[in-house]
Amino acid sequence: MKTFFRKIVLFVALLTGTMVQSAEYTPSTVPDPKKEGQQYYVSNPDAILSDSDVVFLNRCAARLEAQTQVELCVVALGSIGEVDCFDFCYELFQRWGIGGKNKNTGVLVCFVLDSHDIRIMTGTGIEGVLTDARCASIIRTEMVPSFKAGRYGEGLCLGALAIYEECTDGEAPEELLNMKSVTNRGSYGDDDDDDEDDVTTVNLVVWGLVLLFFLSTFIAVWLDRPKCPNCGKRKGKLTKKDVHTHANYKHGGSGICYYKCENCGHEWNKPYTTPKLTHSSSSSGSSSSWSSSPAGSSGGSWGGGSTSGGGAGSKW
Amino acid sequence: MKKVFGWILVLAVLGVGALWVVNVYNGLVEQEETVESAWSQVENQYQRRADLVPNLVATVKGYASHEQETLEGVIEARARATQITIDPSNATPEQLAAYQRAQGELGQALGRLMAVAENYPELKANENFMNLQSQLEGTENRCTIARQQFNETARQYNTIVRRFPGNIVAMIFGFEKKPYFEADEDAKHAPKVEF
Repeated sequence: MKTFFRKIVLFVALLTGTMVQSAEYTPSTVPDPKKEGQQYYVSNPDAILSDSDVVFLNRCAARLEAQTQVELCVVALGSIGEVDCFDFCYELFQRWGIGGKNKNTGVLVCFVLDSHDIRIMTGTGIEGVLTDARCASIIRTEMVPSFKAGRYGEGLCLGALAIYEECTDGEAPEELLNMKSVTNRGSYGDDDDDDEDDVTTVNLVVWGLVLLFFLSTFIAVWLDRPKCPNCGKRKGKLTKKDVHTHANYKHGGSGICYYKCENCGHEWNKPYTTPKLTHSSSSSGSSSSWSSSPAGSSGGSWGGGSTSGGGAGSKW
Repeated sequence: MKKVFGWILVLAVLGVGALWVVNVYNGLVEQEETVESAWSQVENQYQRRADLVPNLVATVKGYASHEQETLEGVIEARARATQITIDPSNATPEQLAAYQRAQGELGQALGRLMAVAENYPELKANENFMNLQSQLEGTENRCTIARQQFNETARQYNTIVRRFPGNIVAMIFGFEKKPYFEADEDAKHAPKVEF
């Protein structure tokens, strides 16, 4: 019965989780990608970007950091409420400390969907390379056209690529240029549906899972009931449980369960055993852990850099 | 014996007292240095903005030569703003307010210039103008941040200077409260031009 209860709790959690999709973020509630690991640079809590976009951005940022120690952070949010985008970005930049502490070469790219804001904020160390004018032109030429067409992921990927090329002062490597997220540049029409489809398929999958859980709980409950040896129907019900010994760290437990069939009234009993307790898991091994943590989940961090408010931003 | 012990005790207390004074003094000096460096940041950013003006005026003149009044307004405001200098170690609130006002006037004159430029589509599309515009926006933002950071360091310094018993040390050595930048609503962000 404990497992049944847990499944119900998870179902409710999942339900509420899908409903709270477009929350208003503040600098303290935006999920920090570094918490998942040092190799993550993108915060995408509202799933505005597709998985392939996130992969591209992470790879781009990783290569950029490896080559130039510039820490690129991309944040795509549904809403930040009424807060001014510049103030929001400044606070976020300072809070996370993007960029190395001494070099201060951090770059924050922030995209907000409902207020149509895009901003690039640069650390003091990279201002000379990513000048305000250059940031403004990257936004104008690489990002805004795609945003206006509804291709948000593509806009951010092209922008990240431009930032990469600016910081490394050269062409981006083949590997990045060939990735899907930026090769769609130039094809019109079909991409609009892609984003729509992505969102609806995600929703479908989530609801499908929810239904599956619901169904599985019913099946589990139904199968839980023992078969009556007399009439053969699954209508057995536990009437009494006689515990002989409790399970502890030295030995397992044992006892006898008494059942009665609701159909024919037949009564029978069945002895049972429970395994010895072990120190690694506190719950009995009937349910596996629901959340799997990613490899390298010790989490990483940004370098502790700061910004003086430079960069550029615009509405799209 | 008792007399000697008494003297030793007095010396010990005086010694501890002296150490404490030294500590507080050094803390004040450090914090004042932080304030002064924050002040020089403010000055840098305002200077950066002032440096954009000649180029901006020249570019706009090329397309909107009739807007003499606005252009001259910007040039004059810049001249006034660059004249005022402040010594951070003994600045008074009035001096700072005057500085802020002059800079605010330059900001407003620039705002008017940008609004006027709206009427000239060729100017708006000019590459040089677009660059200058984004530089201006960026610099205005940096000025805002620099002011915020200055206010923050000044606040920390003032707290140490005014708190008891540190304020006694401050008084003895002549550390005074630093003035703040007042909240400046219209100069908060650069005029945003929507395309």
